Amino acid sequence: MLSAKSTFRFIEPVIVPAAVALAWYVVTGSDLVSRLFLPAPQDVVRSLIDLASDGELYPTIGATLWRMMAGWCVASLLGIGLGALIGLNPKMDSVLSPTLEFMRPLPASAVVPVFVMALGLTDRMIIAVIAFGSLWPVLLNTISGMRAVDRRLREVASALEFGSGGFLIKFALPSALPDIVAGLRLGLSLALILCVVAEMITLSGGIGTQILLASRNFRSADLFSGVVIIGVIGFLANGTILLIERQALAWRT
Amino acid sequence: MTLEARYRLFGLLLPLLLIAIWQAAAISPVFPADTLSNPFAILSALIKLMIDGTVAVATRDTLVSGGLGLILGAALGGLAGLAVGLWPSADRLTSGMTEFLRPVPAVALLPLALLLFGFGSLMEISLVAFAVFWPVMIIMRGAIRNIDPQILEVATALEFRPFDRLVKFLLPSVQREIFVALKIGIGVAFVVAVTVEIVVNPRGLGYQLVLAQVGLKPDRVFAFLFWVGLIGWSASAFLDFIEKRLFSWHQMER
Repeated sequence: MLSAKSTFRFIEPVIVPAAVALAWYVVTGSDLVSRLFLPAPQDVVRSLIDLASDGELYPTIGATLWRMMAGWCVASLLGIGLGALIGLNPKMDSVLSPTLEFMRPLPASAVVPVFVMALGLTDRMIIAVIAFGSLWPVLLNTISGMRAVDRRLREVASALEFGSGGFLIKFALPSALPDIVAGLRLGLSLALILCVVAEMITLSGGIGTQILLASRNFRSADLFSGVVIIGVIGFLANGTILLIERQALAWRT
Repeated sequence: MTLEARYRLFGLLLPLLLIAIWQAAAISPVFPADTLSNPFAILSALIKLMIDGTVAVATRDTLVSGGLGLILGAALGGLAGLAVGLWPSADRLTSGMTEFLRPVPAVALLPLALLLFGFGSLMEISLVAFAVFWPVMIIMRGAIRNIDPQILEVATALEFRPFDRLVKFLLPSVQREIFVALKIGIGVAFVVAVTVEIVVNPRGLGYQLVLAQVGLKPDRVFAFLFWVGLIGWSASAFLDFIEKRLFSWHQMER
């Protein structure tokens, strides 16, 4: 049997969300707020079910996921590659860092107009924007992870006559892995945000487009269900990487 | 000159070199001058836009909306962080809601803000406030929790009233964290404000960027992009400078 206290502990975090949900239900039922602006919770659930059952939802989610993952993969490869180059090689650091510092303060959303001019309203454009924006956390984390590689490891590697490629793969990458993975996780959540932003700007399909159009047409239930889907995608993406992180880095502890 | 210094000099010159290549490529007949404009045209567009006041008005709109959202979000986030930092039971009660809302990107709520407030500064302020709220709250919560319990014991021993305890003990011991929270908040506020303007809101720097792009004026697009980058860069450089000035004693102490 659970004691009263431990039962309370268990349900404590749910009390406030439950109260909010109840208030939401009561307020929307009482016509205090127009349904045009605030849909009832059951309408949101119905909208989710409708979207899922008429099959419209899957291509929408698919488009968003594809862009997000493609952009993130490009950013990750670039970020880890450049980061290793800069973090392990002080010469490259001196040469490349000022240029990168020059570009870093640009908000990724602000480069959208430039990318649209160069690439048009295409998937490639969206992927490029995501790649630009989620590059930075991966790059910075890789650089700091690589810089922190123990000097003794370098000595061991050179004593064992590893080339720089061997040193990178066998010593530097594993040692910097926790930092890199943390950067990858930040990059992925940025990728989702940028994907939604780019989809809202270009209106080229995907969840971002869907929620913006829902808002313009006062379909508030569809708008809320879209926001829920974005939240779920973000939660799952973050959770997956955390899981991989825990599995892959288990050997370190 | 040492080899090391040479590399560093080359690194500093690299952006200028790239700009020169850009300029050369733009005026050479090999590439048709179209979408990429060129550095001279961009600079003259920026000067023109500064003289006719477009830059000033757009910058003011963005900074006012972003600033008001920042103040609102930071004040609410700071208070919330203080509350859940001081009272663990409040933290446990709200943690479910926090974990649920925090990962929602502010831009995902953009259509909702549009629906509720329509176009204008109100929707921008509300989104900036939402985005700023979370990092400020999290940092404040952590800072308050990490206060040395001995400090609080001193306050209790001296029988300070709750308000004095807050102003004389709690806030001074987390002033560095407050500064860090504000610094992060300023960055978030600026990015969110510009993003909101680019996506829907017809005002400010973001809107000027879109306007220039739709009007097929690449020189203006780059001029505004450069300006936006310059604002972000100088804000962060300024804040780093202030931080070093204000908290240099902190480092020595630790």
